[in-house]
Amino acid sequence: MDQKIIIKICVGTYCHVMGGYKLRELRQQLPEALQDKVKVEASVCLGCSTLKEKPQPPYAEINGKLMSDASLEKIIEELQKIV
Amino acid sequence: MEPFGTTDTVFIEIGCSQENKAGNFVCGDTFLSHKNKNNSAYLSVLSDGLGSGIKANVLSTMTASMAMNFLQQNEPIVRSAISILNTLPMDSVRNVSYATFSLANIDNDGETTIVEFDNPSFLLFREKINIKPQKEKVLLPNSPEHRIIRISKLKLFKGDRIILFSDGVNQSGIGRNEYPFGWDNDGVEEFVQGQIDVQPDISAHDLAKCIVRQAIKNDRFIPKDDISCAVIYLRDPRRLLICSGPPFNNEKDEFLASTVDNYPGKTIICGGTTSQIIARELHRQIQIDLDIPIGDLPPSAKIKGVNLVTEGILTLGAVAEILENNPSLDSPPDNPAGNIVKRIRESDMIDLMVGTRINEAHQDPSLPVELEIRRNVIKKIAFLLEDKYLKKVRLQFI
Repeated sequence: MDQKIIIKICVGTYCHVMGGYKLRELRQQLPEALQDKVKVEASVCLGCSTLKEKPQPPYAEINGKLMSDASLEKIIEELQKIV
Repeated sequence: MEPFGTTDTVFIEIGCSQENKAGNFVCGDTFLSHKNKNNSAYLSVLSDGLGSGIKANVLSTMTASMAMNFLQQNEPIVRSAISILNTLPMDSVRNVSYATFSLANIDNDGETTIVEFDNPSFLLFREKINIKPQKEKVLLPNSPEHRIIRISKLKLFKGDRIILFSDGVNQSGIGRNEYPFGWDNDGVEEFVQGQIDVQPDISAHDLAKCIVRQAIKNDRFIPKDDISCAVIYLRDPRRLLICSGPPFNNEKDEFLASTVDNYPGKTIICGGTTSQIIARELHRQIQIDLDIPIGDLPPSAKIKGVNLVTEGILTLGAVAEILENNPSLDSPPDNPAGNIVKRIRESDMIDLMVGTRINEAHQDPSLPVELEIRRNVIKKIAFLLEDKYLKKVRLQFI
């Protein structure tokens, strides 16, 4: 794969309080096979407050697709699917 | 309310440094300063208790706090001095007063009165020039011991420094070959002149520290007396703008961004949405550094032209807590809140611009109660900065 998968984790207040602070460990927790294929970035807000439904933080974004109620396991699972 | 950052006023910085006489756990000198809220006058008192140790500490504390109370009640400064001298007892053995003092009262427009009783004469430096002000000597009425107070009435301007010190400074080094009569007033003057020549904008705090350090050195690092020095410095205010919260009406977004961009001082943005608004309006990128160690607070970010970008309410709550519990502000924690506190410590005039739009996302009942309302946290910070840290604070809600 030429292009890296871009994953953004939200470090805004709401997501941080609702467990998002754990997502900051993502880079350390990535399986070795994924290390070179993923670029981890942070965002101050991925825009959950503009959603129509009730927000389910913490949020992450994988290649532009929003993931609600994100956790390290859920993100890694999703990444493995894409790869 | 005056517009942010446009007024060119003078800020009065007061810094003090003290060292105990060798072997003592407390200082026998007391320095107090206070900003009178009613007429925004600055009041300072330096008192030196007879002898050293606990007894001297109690005597000087008594004298200084008495003086401060008088001055805060707007009692004329000369009458306060006379009342103190008439009230406090004399030492029965040595037949001298228990404590000496210098009182300074600086009005908002620079009108200053300094009353001295038996303390070394204060120094006045106008920019780099040492000025010897005229002093009126007044023999105290009803005082059989011929006690004399010296009164100076001055008009101070931007760039002026007043230096008060206890006799531990000018008598430091006494008896040594270099200083048979101690460092002496002339020696102190020469030293201060040298410091100001080298560093014309040295802060009050740093200058006081330099003088005390030199006095300790004169005493060969074993202070023979309590050493205290206080510097009052009138200078350009160092400004800091802290913005937090999106404006109630998004028509004001542009105003918020241009205020940050054109601010004549340092700028901090607290809040994810706020930083997104400002980055959008100024067409700049937000960069978040994920390499910062993971702590209790969300990481800080960078926007070109802004000195610090942090998360909002959690970080501000932590700032309020540091301001409340760590009065010296000397070693704030190494996290975004600590970084804000460091900037605050380095500033004199702090503008707080608070957006009042409610963050819909925070209206979730499952959120912890620590997520206080932004306005309340900011108001608490503003109160602490004014009351405890003598900063000039302006608060604007948008």
